Amino acid sequence: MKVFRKIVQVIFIWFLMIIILFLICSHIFSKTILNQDYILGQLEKENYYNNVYHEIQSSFEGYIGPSGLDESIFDGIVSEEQIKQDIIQIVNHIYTGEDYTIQTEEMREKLNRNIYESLLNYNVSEEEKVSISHFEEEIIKEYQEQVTHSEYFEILEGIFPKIIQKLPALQLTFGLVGIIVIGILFVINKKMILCSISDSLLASSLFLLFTKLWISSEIEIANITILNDAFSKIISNVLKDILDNWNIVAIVGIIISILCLIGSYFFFYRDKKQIKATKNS
Amino acid sequence: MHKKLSKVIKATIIEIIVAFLLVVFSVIIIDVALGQKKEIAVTLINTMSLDKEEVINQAPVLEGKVIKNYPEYGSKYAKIQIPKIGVNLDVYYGDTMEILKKGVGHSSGSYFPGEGGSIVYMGHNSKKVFRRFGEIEKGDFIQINTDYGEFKYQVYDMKIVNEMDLDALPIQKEKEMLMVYTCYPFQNIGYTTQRYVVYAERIEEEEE
Repeated sequence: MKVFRKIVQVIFIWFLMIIILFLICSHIFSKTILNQDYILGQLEKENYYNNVYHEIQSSFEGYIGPSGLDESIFDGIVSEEQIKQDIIQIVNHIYTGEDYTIQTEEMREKLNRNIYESLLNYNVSEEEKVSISHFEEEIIKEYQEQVTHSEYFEILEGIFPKIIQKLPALQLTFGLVGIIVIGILFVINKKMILCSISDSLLASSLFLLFTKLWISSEIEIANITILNDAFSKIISNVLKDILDNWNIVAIVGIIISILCLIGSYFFFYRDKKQIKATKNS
Repeated sequence: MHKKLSKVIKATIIEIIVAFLLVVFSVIIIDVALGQKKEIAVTLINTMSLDKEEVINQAPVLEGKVIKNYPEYGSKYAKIQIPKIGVNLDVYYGDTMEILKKGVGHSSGSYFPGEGGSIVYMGHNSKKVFRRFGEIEKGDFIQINTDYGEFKYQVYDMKIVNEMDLDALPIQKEKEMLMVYTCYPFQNIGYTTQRYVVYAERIEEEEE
């Protein structure tokens, strides 16, 4: 009977471990990758807007060679501030699902004005006007593509708002189930309840620590390259922050749980001694 | 007191072992549940991991029809000379907009001079690059001077093709042919979807 009770106790300790793991991970994710302000902070920190601005300028220049137009036609058609506003809109769309519009009308007007100003002494034929209009469309498309990087953002479409919406309810559910599991463990062995909770905390902390070590050894986070240097640095920073948080939580968890284990056994043996002494007297 | 302490330590160690076994059990469950997916995910992520350490460049060498130590992507590795239109330009390995701003680009999907296959070069139709491309005629010569040898080609055809017409630039390894293209019309204003391709075949062996 004692062995059976011990087995049941270990099973519930394992359940509690899973619940603790979920609560720790979900908390870390909600403070990092699932936090819009955190991501915007990272974009600002890595000077992402300026980087995109230069990439856009550079990609525009690529169209100049075959266009027969002067490079000055791109002067002032796009600003870093406008890029920042557009990117913030897109990030907001990713996290909240709210619609966004990239305003390109003003940009198109400026570009059109610059092109025709550069061709003042040239008689533009109807065919060339069509070609210029096509050129403007390509430039607008290039701008939208550089700002949105649609091929990546399409993958994320709708995922984050769903997770962000459901996470608090899930955390609450897991928390309630955790309390029930603690209650069951209390019924199984009320004297060793602190010891059981500490065991779960220790196991989840060890799991986090091993996972962190495994990920660090298997994946070269610092060298991850997606889109461009600034974006890669942001991805690498986010992953590093998540793993660093895991590490801190794991180490603190291990220390607390071992101290609790020692404490609970210390009191357990003291109580046992006292009961024995009372019985003898 | 000493006995009690040893009991506490012993019990704590047992609990640590239990916790460790729970972790092992969890890892096994995850391993069984994910199976190969775990390795695929790691491989996928690592394909996005580029070693940013500096690459030690070694000069390319042509051994038979195989080049050892290919040039690094984006690096200058040759000069193209077309005496008829006064072209003497640097050739870079790669075809990004950034590369084409510097000179002539070498399509990374094609062969290198000396390898005996299709070589695809491209450049803008600007004054500095291929504005006079239309003056090239059948029988004209194109010279490619690389770090590993010099190669001479003779023009045998010219074509105006659509930018999406990939058949106009066939990649093969039976015959060494050079295809150089630029945007068409040469004096174009605005966006162009046509390309002017010059086809040339190798006429002499590499000079040692």
